[in-house]
Parts: sequence; C-alpha cells; structure tokens
Amino acid sequence: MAGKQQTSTVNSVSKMGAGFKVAAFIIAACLLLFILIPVLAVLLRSIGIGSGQGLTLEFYTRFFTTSNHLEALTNSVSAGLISTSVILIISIPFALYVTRTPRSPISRVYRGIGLLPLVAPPFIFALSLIILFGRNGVVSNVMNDWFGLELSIYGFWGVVIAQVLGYFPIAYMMIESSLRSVNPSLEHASQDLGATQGRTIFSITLPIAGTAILKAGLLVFVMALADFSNPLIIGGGTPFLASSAYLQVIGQQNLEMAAVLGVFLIIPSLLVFLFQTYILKDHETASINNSTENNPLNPVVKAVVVFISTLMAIFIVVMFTMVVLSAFVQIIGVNNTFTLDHFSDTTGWGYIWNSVIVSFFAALIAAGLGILQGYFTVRKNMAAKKLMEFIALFGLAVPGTVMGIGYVLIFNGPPFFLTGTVLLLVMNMAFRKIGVGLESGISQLQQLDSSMEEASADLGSGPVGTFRKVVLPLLTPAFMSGFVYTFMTAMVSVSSVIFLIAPGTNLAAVYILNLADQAAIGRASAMSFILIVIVILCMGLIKFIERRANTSA
Amino acid sequence: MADQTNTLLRIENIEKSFGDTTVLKDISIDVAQGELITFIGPSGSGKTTLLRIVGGFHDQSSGEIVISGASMNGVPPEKRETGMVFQNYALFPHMTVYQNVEYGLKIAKVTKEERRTRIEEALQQVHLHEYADRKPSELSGGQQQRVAIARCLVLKPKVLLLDEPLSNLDANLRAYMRDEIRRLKEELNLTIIFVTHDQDEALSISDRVLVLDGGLVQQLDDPSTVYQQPANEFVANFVGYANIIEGTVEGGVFKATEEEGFQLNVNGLDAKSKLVIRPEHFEVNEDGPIRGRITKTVYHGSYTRCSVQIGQLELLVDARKENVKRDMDIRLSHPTHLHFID
Repeated sequence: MAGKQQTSTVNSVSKMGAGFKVAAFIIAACLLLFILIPVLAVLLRSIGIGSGQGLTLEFYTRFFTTSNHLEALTNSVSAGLISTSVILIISIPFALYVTRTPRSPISRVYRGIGLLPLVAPPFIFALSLIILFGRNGVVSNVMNDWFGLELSIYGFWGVVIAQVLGYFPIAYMMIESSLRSVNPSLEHASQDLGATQGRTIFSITLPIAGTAILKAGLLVFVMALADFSNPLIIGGGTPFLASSAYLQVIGQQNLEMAAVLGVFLIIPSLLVFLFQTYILKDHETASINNSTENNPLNPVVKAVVVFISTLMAIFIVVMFTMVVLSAFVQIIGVNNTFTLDHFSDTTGWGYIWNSVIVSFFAALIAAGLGILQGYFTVRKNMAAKKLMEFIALFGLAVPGTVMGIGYVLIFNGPPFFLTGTVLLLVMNMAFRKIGVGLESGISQLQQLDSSMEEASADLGSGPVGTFRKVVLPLLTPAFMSGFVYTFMTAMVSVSSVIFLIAPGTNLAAVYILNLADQAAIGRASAMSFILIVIVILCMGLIKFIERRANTSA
Repeated sequence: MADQTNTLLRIENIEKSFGDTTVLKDISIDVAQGELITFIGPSGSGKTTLLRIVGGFHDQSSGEIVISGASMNGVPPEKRETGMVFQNYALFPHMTVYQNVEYGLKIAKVTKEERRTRIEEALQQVHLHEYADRKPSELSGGQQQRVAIARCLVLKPKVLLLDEPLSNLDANLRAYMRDEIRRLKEELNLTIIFVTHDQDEALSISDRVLVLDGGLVQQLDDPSTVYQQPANEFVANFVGYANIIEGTVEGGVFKATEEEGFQLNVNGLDAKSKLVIRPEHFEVNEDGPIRGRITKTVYHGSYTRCSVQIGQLELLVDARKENVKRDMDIRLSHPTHLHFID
C-alpha cells in the first residue's frame, strides 16, 4: 500500500495557505460523510440503533436462527474459498508463462486476454455462462438433443465459475508483477546448485513472491465474499450474503437485517484491510532489477504452464465471444439470424449516457481530491492526516453492498435527502475510489524532491501558486492513473449504486443486471458490448492524450 | 601453465551470437585443475557471456565446453559440476545462512547428518560459522559474499565461477576478499574462473589472465607477462597505464616519429613499430640522458605521476621522490624495461 511517510519538517513548504486549509477541511468533511459515517450507520443499525428500538441483539439472534441467512453465510464463504483457490492455481502458472518466456506477440496476447475481464461489467461471465449453459443455452440444447442431459448452470457452482473468471485478472495482475520483480539470478543460483526448474519455482520463486500471492488471494477472497451481481444473475435463488442483503432492503424494507448481513461482509474486509495495511506492508520483495534476462522455462514446465494458461485464455475468449455474438443475433442458439434489434433500446442508451456522465465526474473528483489529499499528506501539516489517509484507503476496502446500505440509511431522509440524485451517485463512486488517487499521488510525490517546491517558494511563489504551477504538472501521470481506474470501475459497478438509483437516474450496469435477471439475454449482451467498447475507447483516448502530452513536453 | 595432463576445463572454439551481433568469436582456452584464471575486459567484451556459457546459463552458437573430458553440450546448469557466485550474491532472502548453504545438498539428497558436517565445514572455511542462523539481510556485503561462496563450495564443484564478485564491496573489503579467495583456492585446490573489469584485481589474484575485447581473445598469459609484455595496444592500455610511442629502429636505435630527438637503445630486442613503456619504468635521474619538462603532476601517495613534455612528445612518468613540481625541468634515465608491439 502507501510507502513510507516522509517525515515532514516544519518549514515554509509545509505550512498551509488559507486556500489549502479550506480544501483540506472540505476533503476531511467529505471523507467522513461519504465513507465513515455510512459504514458506522450500518454497524449501529445492526444492533438496533437508529431503528427506533434502541440497543438490541435481536437482529443477530434472528440471523442465526434463520436457515436462509446462515446458508447465505456458508455459501458466500465457501464460494469465496473455492474460487480464490482456483484463481490462485490458475493465475500462478499463467503469470509464470507470461513472465518466464521471451517477450513475443503470443505472450503479449495472453497477457491481454488475462486482463480483458477488467474492462467488462463484473457479471459478464454470469451472462455468458447463461448463454452457453442456461436453460436455453447453446451447449445445454446440444447436450439435451444428443444425450438427453439436462444441464443447469444456475446455483452455487455457476456463481463459483463466474467468480473465477471475473476475479482472475486481479490476482493475475498482482502475481504477474511480483514474479516479474523476482531477481532472475536467484533462480539461476538455484539451478546452479542443482535444482530443477520445477523445484526452483516451488522453493525459490513462489516463496519470494509469497507475500504478493497472499495479498492477491486475500483480496480476491473478500471480493468474492462480497460478490453481488453473480449470485443475483446466476445464483438461481441460492442465497448469498450480498444479494440477500439487497433483497432485504428492496423486497422487505428490512434495513436492520440488511445491516446484519452487511456486518458479515464488512468484518472480513476490515480484517484483511488491516492485515494488508499494517502487517504485510513492509514485506515487499526487495527487487533488484538488473538487465539479466528472466530464466526461460524448460520444456516440461513450459508444457504445464502453457496448457493451463491456454485453457484459461480460451475460456475467457469464448465467454467474451458469446456475449458479442449474442448481441448481434435474434436469440443465440435458437435463432441465429443477424440483427441489430438489441441495440435499438433507447432507454438503454439513455442509461449509458447517465453512466458516462456519472463516471466522468466521479473519476474527476476521485483523482483530483485524492491527489490533493496526497499532497497534504506528504508535504503539508494537515491535521489528522494519518486518520484521513486511513479512511480514504478503507473506502476502497468496504464492500459496495455495505456502502449502498449505509447510504440508504444516511441519505434517505433529512438532513441530506439525496437518494435518487445524480449527485449522490457521483459522490458514492468518487469516494469509494478516492484511495486510488491518494495512493498514486503519494507514491508520485515521494519520488519528487521537495527542494523543487522550496525553489518555487524561494522564487517568490505562494503555496497555492507553487502547487498549481510546479506540483500539479508533475502529478499529471498520477492523476491520469487515478482517473482511468475510477472511470473504468465506475462504468461497470453495480453493488453500491443499485441501492441509490431512481427511475430517471438508472445506470447502464444496473440496467444490464435487470435485463439479465429478466432473461433478456440479447439486450443485456448488446448493452454489455456497448459498455465494453466505451471503456476500451476511453482508455485508448486517455493513452493517446498521455502519449501526445509526453512527446510534446 | 595448463599442460595437457591435468586439464580440467576446455573451452573449445566457442562462438556466440545474439541475433545479428556476434559477442564471442572462436574462443579456446584450457584451464588446469587448481588454476585461477581471470576473464577481464571492458563492458561488452563478452567476458560475462563466456562465463555464463561455461555455467550453462547461455547456449553457445557453436563450439564446445568440456569438463573432465565430458562434453557439456545440452547439459543444463543443475547437471553441470560448476558453482556460480553471482555479482549480487543471489542469496535466497527467505532462508537463513544455514538453509542457503543446505539448499544444494538437500537437492543432492545428502543425509541430514552429512549435510550438517559439510555445512559446518563450509561455513568454517569462510569464517561464518557463527552466523548460521542469520538471514542474508542481516549480514554485511562481505559476509553475504562469503555465504554465496560457501553455498557453492559445499557442493564441491569442479569449477567455481565468480561473476564480478567483488564489485559491490568497498576497497578494503575487496582487498580482504581477494586474499580470502586466493587462500581458499590454495587450501582446497579449487579451479576458479573469475570475471572482473578491474585490472588490479585481475593481476593480483590470477594464475593466468584472459584479456577479452569485442568478443576476441586479446591475450592469455600469466599476470606479469600480460603487464610487462602486452600483446597489443589494447592490452597495453587496458591493463595499467602505458606510453605507446610510434617510431623506427635503425642500427639498434629507436627513434620516435613525433620527436626525432627521443632516441632509445633497443639493441637485442625484436624491433617493431610501437614501443610500450610503463610510467614506472622511467626514473627521474639528474644524470639521465632524456631531458623534459613537467607539465602536470598528480600525487598518488607512494609516487607522483607526471606528464613530461619531451619535444613534441608527452609521456607519463612516475616519480618516486616528492620533489617534482609543475614547470620543472627534469632528466630521465633510460627506461628499465622496453616492449615492442605491432
């Protein structure tokens, strides 16, 4: 997470100008209002506070005596454990393949495929699993016609498969970068001492990358645990924590039970967050990046990793292809005639426009305020900056469902009656991701020498002027990465905003979820396709701007 | 040095290209059992590539590596009886010193009892037996270096390969480790290939020195021959400092082309077109035959290196006395050692 803090000395640069004081106050107030208070509200509501009943454990008792809720808990935990293990088993060989073979177009394609799910809505795989294996699925029909087999993907295992595919890129990304940073001469040394490559991987490479693998596993586990959309689309009524919490709010208006379910989501997330921030923080692999090439894989090891990676890559590609195909035909597997009907959904286009607007402003706020906060954290004596940093990073770790319930509790009445407004959607997405802007701002600032700002002050510029003319231009890359990340995730996020939309302010990703739920697979696919294209186009545009900015500078 | 009977390692006609660039051209060397041979050259000379080919980390494009009479073609590093000490030591950060040294023995399926004796012995040899339970990050650079050596030694490799092992150490420690490696080599009769770009290190540690440049062997000789009788201008300049003076020889007398007045008696030498004179082979001498003027001095402690203008020639001369100054007229004695190159 964030690197070591620079010890700030009291000097001209660290003093806060009046403008900065206002900005710092606004950031702090927003962090409290849009992150901390909603989460606290969920915790308090679960013990009855705010429900008009006063302190009580009644809702927990009810939770533990309702078989449906207990089932939701065990389902979520076991699905999380299974998909995390499978993801680790696949992503390690996948990352080995990409990092330990000479750079080639093929390995680059694999890498691209591995990261592809990042641009898609989190439930895209549930959608394509239904296309393939659903009641009228392409494969299901074939199996039924030829062998008389009744396939059903709906239920626990469908959710697990969708999670494996959906969360794979996150683990893959983290493990790949850690394997890349393992010093190749350690592997050479191991082989020189007589170890085969297989043994080298198990006793040297993986233990050294162990911290990153552990981090990846924990992160994937909490994400899978809090998975919202896959259970809703493909769970077939099987209860899971996040989807049950949603149904409690929407179907039964039972905010107390929703809060209890939320607590079971937030406790593991909080534990993992604390563990990663305070225990794993300083255990990064010391990487000496020298020019020595990475150790190429021997034929046997290579055959194994290529086999696993290829299976996974094909699986991912097939899944995406199914969604694209299904967007362009009448009813895939039943009537495969080409059509553009699914795209003539005016309501849907309106929601896409909503999503773009909301995501754009959310990204602007998350990246902008995040970096400003990073600047205060590293260079200024902002009051309670440690606490504010903690809250911002904590915002990243809070499951969307919990945040959604918290927002319903806080913003559904006075003094902030905001549910259903675009403003609340923007704030929700922005402050859930502000930690990304903060982190990239902090790490970039730590690489910049503060003497540059001292020079600017020395040359007569005030603190705000220095920030605007010297610091800001140097922080552009950090801003860009925070912006792109927030925009991408906001475009496809569902679990939190689904609680906050009103008919006029519906968002594309939520709409797709509804379509999938109503088995309008063709339209759901078409909307997903548009969403993926928009996300890819935006990323391309930003890369293009970045490159032009770099070459003209 | 390496007579045919006890040749341990043979490097035969090794060629290596990466894509279109040839980095090693037709290299052949025989290394004897118990010999320490240094590969020295500027960066890009191919010295590390050659070492890695011997260790099995690169495949040669053509040629053969033979250890104890057996061809190593297609033999992976783990099956070669070579032990490599890496420039950055490559100690496994998640293991203690003991576990690092034990690693290779475990793979070789040595029994636990024997492992313990051999590890203790190896750590004794590098004076680190008290540090067995430390992690590499808790050791100094020199100690890490010695763990890396012990980790190789414990496997009793036929050839020890050292890739610029001292370059990350400070000057005093480097001198100490140089003596240590030499001591281990004598005590255990080790065969060592040592890669360095430091010519001092090469001269002081080696039995023989291989000078490489542009993938070609420039010279392979014992240190004093490399220093006193460099094979060509590159070696003369790369190993130590040299005055290289072009000229002609008539009747046993060398006459510099640039300065007719600079004449030396070269009777009995195999005369060629260029004369190599090391700065320390001149002596400042009031009665000397060569007259010049000092244009620059650099103080080095035990001597002062002077630039001396002799007519059109400018030569480097080491004065052992401290009374030399800029703009001083001096006289030099006839060089104590002369060597011709093409």
